[in-house]
Amino acid sequence: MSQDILAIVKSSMNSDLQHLTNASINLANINTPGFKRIQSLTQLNPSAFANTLSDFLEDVGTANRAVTSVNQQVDFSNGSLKHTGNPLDVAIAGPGFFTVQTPNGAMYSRNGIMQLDAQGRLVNGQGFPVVGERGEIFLENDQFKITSQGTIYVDEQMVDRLAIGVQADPSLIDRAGVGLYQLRQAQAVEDQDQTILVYQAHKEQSNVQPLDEMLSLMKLTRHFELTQKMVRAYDDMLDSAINDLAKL
Amino acid sequence: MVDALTISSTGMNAQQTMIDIIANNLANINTTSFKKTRVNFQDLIYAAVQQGPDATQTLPILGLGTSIGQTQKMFAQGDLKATDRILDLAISGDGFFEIQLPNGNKAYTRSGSFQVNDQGYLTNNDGYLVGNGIQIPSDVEDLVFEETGLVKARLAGDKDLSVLGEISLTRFSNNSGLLPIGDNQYQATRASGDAMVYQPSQNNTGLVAQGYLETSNVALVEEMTNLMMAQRAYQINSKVAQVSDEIMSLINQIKR
Repeated sequence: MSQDILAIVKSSMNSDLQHLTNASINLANINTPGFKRIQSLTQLNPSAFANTLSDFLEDVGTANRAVTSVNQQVDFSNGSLKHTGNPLDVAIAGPGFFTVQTPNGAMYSRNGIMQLDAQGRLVNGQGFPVVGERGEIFLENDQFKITSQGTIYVDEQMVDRLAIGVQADPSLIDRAGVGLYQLRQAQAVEDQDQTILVYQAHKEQSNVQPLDEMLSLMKLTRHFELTQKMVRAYDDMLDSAINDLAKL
Repeated sequence: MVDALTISSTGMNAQQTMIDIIANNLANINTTSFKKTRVNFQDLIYAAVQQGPDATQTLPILGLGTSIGQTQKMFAQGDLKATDRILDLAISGDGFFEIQLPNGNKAYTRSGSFQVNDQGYLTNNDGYLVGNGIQIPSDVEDLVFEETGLVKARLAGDKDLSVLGEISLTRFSNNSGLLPIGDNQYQATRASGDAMVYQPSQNNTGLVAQGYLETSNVALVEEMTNLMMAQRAYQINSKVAQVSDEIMSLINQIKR
């Protein structure tokens, strides 16, 4: 019996700690361009819907399964665009991703802070080539224009079009760190797609909202405090059961 | 251990670097041809974590904070300021002047506040030769640097200008890859690509403007807003550290 109650409280405390970790990741990346916040929700495990309390406690006790768990998703909503004036800063408004060629194959990124490398190739901040529909993009200098559809022009001559990948189902998008994502079954964007617009000389800011994260921090601290009090109250109860009851 | 504490410290470190960079930019707001630096952050590697010691289900991967992706020199053109000094040159374009360092290496600069040394050679402020050495006789009456690089002078007693030499400009594929070596000078690296020498105006090297100096490209308002953002971001990350501390304290108080 005691195992069960402590197990319930423990899983609740673990959920709070998970929320804290997620809030800290979001807030650490509040100035990271193209960063997408982690959205975390506490959810009740299906076993909590057992018919009776005793079934439920039995389930928790035997399987030692968590009562609550944290469901983490990446919130892919747009960050606001900030004008930088640097022609090599490119931002996407809408659900698309830049395609980046890494040693591990094609990856996708929302961080459009680009550079030209020693060969004049368009690369991202880590030096991986940002590819177009015809492959790697070579530009002589930063005198080029990118249209809202991602087409790159040098002196009115079309060079290539940025390869922009989309995946509507967020569950098929994996985070790989350093601003990169893996898109399973990515699709290329149609030329006429007006829902995805490319902006040159802009950078997409992190979509973390400090207010939300601050409220989440407050909520989880108080909730953690409350559950801690529950453990202590339970401890008090056991204490009097063991030490005081026998005195009578 | 509460991960949030270490994650918030990566956030504080990153913002601290940003404040350092902003301080350097602001300190050089009146430095001739200074190019501002920008910090680009990136999120850190995501690690798969498991919940609890005996969890069967793996949670979605979890990030571990933020880091400095790169610090990047921004080579946007600074404004040209008229000085009316005949040996002040500015470049309006992407090029660099080539400077001969005493150790035989070449450095590149956009700071064109030049002088003439005791042998009559055109040097920069540090006394290093500009280009392959342009000798200016001591008795010139009129010295003209044409926008396309020709150096002409009217020698004493002459009626016409005669050509003394030529200033060429150097370009790189990736200016951000240049190595700043101080004194407004840069060196070529593997990242910047090889130096490409052209006559001014060719291949976007730009034109030479005599009697002008290029001002710093630091924009005060931009730096100030960035400073506010960095400070507040630091503050909110320190709050996370505070909350983590509070949580750890609560954990410690479970057992009386």
